[in-house]
Amino acid sequence: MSDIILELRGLEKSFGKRSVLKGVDLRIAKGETVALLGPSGSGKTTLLRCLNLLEHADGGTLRIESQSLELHRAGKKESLQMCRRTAMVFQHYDLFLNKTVLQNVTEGLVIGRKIPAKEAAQTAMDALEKVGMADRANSRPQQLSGGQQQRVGIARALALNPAVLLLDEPTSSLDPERVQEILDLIAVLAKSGATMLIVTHEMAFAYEASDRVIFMDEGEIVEQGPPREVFGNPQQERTKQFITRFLNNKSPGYFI
Amino acid sequence: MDLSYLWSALQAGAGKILPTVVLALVPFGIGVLLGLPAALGRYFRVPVLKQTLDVLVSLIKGIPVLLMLMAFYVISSQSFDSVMQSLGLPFSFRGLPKGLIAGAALAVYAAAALSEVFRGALASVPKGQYDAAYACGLSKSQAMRRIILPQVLPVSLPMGCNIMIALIKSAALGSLVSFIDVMNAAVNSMAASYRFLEAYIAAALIYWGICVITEQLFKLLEHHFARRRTA
Ligand SMILES: Nc1ncnc2c1ncn2[C@@H]1O[C@H](COP(=O)(O)OP(=O)(O)O)[C@@H](O)[C@H]1O
Ligand SMILES: [Mg+2]
Repeated sequence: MSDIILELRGLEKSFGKRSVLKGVDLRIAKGETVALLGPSGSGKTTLLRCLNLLEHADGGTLRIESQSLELHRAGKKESLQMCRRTAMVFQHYDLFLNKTVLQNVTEGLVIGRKIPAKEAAQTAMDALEKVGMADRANSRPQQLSGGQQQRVGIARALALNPAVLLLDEPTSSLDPERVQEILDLIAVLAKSGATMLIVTHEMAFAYEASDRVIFMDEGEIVEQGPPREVFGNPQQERTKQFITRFLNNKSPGYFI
Repeated sequence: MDLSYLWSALQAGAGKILPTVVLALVPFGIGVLLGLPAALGRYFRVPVLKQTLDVLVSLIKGIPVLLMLMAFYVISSQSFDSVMQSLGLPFSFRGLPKGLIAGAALAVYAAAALSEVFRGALASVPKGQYDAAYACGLSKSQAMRRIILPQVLPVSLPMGCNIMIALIKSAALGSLVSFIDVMNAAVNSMAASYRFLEAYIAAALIYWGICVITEQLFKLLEHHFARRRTA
């Protein structure tokens, strides 16, 4: 991989005495789609939150594009600057409840990035168009279904034009019949050249739509590689167990 | 009961509606200005500030407003003149509008009560709203002003209304420091005729009226916010 847009070294994070991330290294190339897999509690959400500086890491260096930051002693200003290089799509959508759909998308542009309101509205409408929600621009989040809310959540993140788009289980809160359409939408974005790190339990999606799969367990990256290799021929015992468990639960044989 | 006495007591009481409302509204405003930062300090556990405010609020909540009012009166009667003298200001306790003392006591009460209301309202905002705001590149103060507080204020309205009504009724305590509100005006007007029942009924009707109107005004505000949320 030539053009590394995100480089993370030695990320450490503890909550109290409990060490949740134990020296995580991560490199993501421009345009790459990386699926992050792992059992619940393995630290996937915390990793994403540290990359987005929602969580204050205890150690590690992060470079995104041209900016480097020592995470444990990042000042307010640099943190905010680094934070604005990524955007996050949340498991529970977390749309701003006091704003319309359009305002949800323009907020980060106008307030966070000081883009003129008119230009921001245009960017926001383009993003809403991409996710098929332009006709609901003036609706309130409370009036939307879960799937629609997540579309807006994706538009809100896309409009910020992040170097890396972070998605934390974007389909886990959705009704089963809505999951596929959101996955399809994300797959389209992946194909269109967006750089993405996506936490997911949708194995078929990870297999088909990602360029690389990372398997995490107990705060460490256990194994990573192209989906065909990690799913077809896992090298580590923990990866094997995890994948087998999923194959037994979900429809087996799908990707072998 | 005599309707003509009731009528004149009503007139006497109604003449003091404005000072009564002012004595409730000004402390309410001060209470919002002090109670909101206090609630933020407590909710976000600002070191020292939180512990100090916790004790203060608990203290104020545990003291009858009446007692606080009398304490303020005694303190100011004893020290107002000497403080003014040492500052070289030409004010004396004798000339001090007694409504100010009542207002100060009510403002302290309102600040404590409203800080509790705002703290509860803050707790009702989901954590995800903060995460989403920061993830969109908003700073802490931008997130607070644009995302969190606009959700806190509408939630605070019903409880805020209750506190406003409590303040209106507490204005009657002003009589203890010779501040004339609705009740005192109505009672004074009947002092010569000893028609106190008429005076009390008249005052009750006026308070009731003021409170009904206050409630309606708060309801209008609530509807305004609710429409903005869903329309
Ligand atoms: N704010 C927090 N305070 C304390 N512990 C936390 C917090 N957030 C996460 N954890 C703990 O960190 C571990 C990893 O959590 P998380 O990153 O959410 O895992 P995953 O997303 O892989 O399920 C879990 O044991 C969780 O209980
Ligand atoms: Mg998680």
